[in-house]
Amino acid sequence: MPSPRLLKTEAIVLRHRPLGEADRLLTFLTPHHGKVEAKAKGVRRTKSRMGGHLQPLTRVLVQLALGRTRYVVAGCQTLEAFPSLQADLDRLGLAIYLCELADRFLPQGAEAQGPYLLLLETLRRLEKGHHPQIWARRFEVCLLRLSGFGPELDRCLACGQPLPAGGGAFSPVAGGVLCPLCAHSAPPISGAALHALRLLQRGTDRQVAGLRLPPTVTQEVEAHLRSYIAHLLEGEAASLRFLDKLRHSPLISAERW
Amino acid sequence: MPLDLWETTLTGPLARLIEELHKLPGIGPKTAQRLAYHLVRSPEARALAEAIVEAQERLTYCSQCQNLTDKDPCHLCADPHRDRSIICVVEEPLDALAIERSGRYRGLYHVLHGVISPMDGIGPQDLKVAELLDRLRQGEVREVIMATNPTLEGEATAMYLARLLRPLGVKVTRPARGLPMGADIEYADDVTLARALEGRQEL
Repeated sequence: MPSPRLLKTEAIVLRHRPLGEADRLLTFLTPHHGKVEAKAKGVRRTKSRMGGHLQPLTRVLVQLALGRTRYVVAGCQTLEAFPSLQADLDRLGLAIYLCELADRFLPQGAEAQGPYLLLLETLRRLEKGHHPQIWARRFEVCLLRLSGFGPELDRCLACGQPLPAGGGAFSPVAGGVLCPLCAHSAPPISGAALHALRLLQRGTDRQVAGLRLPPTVTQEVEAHLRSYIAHLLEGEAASLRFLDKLRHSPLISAERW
Repeated sequence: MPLDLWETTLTGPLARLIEELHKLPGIGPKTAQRLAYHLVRSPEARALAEAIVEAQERLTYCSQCQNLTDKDPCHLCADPHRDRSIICVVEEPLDALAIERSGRYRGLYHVLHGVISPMDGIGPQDLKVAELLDRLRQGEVREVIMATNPTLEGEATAMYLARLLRPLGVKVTRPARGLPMGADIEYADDVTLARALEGRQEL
C-alpha cells in the first residue's frame, strides 16, 4: 500500500537522532501505520516550536507530510508526557529499553494497534511507579506474542507432551519450553518461573498487578526472556548495557529494583 | 553521484577531494562537488589546509576540563581569576563556548564529549566521567552544574552523574528550564511550561 501524502495520527516517539545542522530524524510508533520515520526540521534550535513536543517517551498528535524521500513533521502537539517516569533514572532506563524493543521488533508501515496500546499502557504503569520490573516483563512477553515470536510455554517443543508442574527447560533456539527428558543442555526453568511467564503472557492486567514474585523467580524470568530476546535480535538490546550499569555499578545505590 | 562515476568523469585528485569533503557531517554529494570546485580555484585553499593540519597536530585535551586546547592546562583552567569551587559539566566544547558567551559564569568547565544514549549503546564509560570524578576527589569543588542538553539523553546523563556524585558530598545543580526569549507561549510544550511556572520569580 503506498504511503499517504498526509498523515495525521497520534503516536509515541520511540527515538530520535541528530540530522544535519539542526534537524532530527524521529521514529514514531503509530496505531494504524506502525513504525514511521520522519524528519523534524530545526527542532534542535532553542526557539523551535516543535522541539519540546518531540522528545522520546511522549505521546503526541502529529501531522506528517510526505517529502521526496521520507515524511517531514508539519505539526505536533503533546497529548501525554510522562514527567514522573522521566525524572527517575531507573524507570527512565527501563522505558528506553522498552522503546528499543518496540523499534527493533516492529516493522515499518504495518498496522500496530496492539503493540501501540501495549507500549502506552506500560508507560502509564511505569509513570505510576508500581513494580516497574513486572510491567517490563509483561511488555516483553506480550510484544513477543504480538510480533509472532511468543514463546511456547505449555507443551514440550520436541515431543509435544504437556510440561510437568515442576518445570523443565527453556530453549531460546527452540522458542520455548522442553520437558526434562528432551531438555539436553537447555537451561532449566523452575515451575514457579514457568507459572509466572504464563500469567504474564495470558493474565489480565488485574492479575499481573497482583503478581508478587520472590527475587529468585523474578531473576529467572528476566534471564530466560533476556536470552530469548537476544537470540531473536541476534545480540542483546543496546540499552541493556546501561540498565546493567545502573544495577550493578558499585558506586550507584539502586533504589527501586 | 556514485564514486565509480567520479572516477571515470573526474581526475584523481579532484575525485579524492570530493570524496573527503563528502565524509564531513552535513555535506551531501552536491555540496561536496561545489566546495571542491570552489576550493581548487580559491587562493585561500592552502591557508585552510594548513589551518586544518595545524589544529589537528597542536590540539589536545586539557588534562583538567577535557576541552580541546593547544596549551595544557587550557586558558580557562589556568586563569587565576576563575572560581575553582564550581564546575559546569557540558556535553560538547561548543556548549562551553555558548555558556562563556553569556558572560555570567566565572567558574570552570568539564566537557564530557558526548552524552549517555542507551539505545545507541553509549554509556558513561564512553564519556569523560572518570576524569570528572578525579577532579572532584581533590576536594576543592563545592558545586557541579549539570548543563547537559534538556533532551532525554541529557536528562539521563545529568541524573546518572548526580547519583554518582552524591557520595562525594558536592552540591549538584541543573540550569533552570523555561521559555526562551522571543518565544510564543502558545507553542510551548507542557513539560517546559510546567517547569517555567515552577521556577517563576517575583518581578
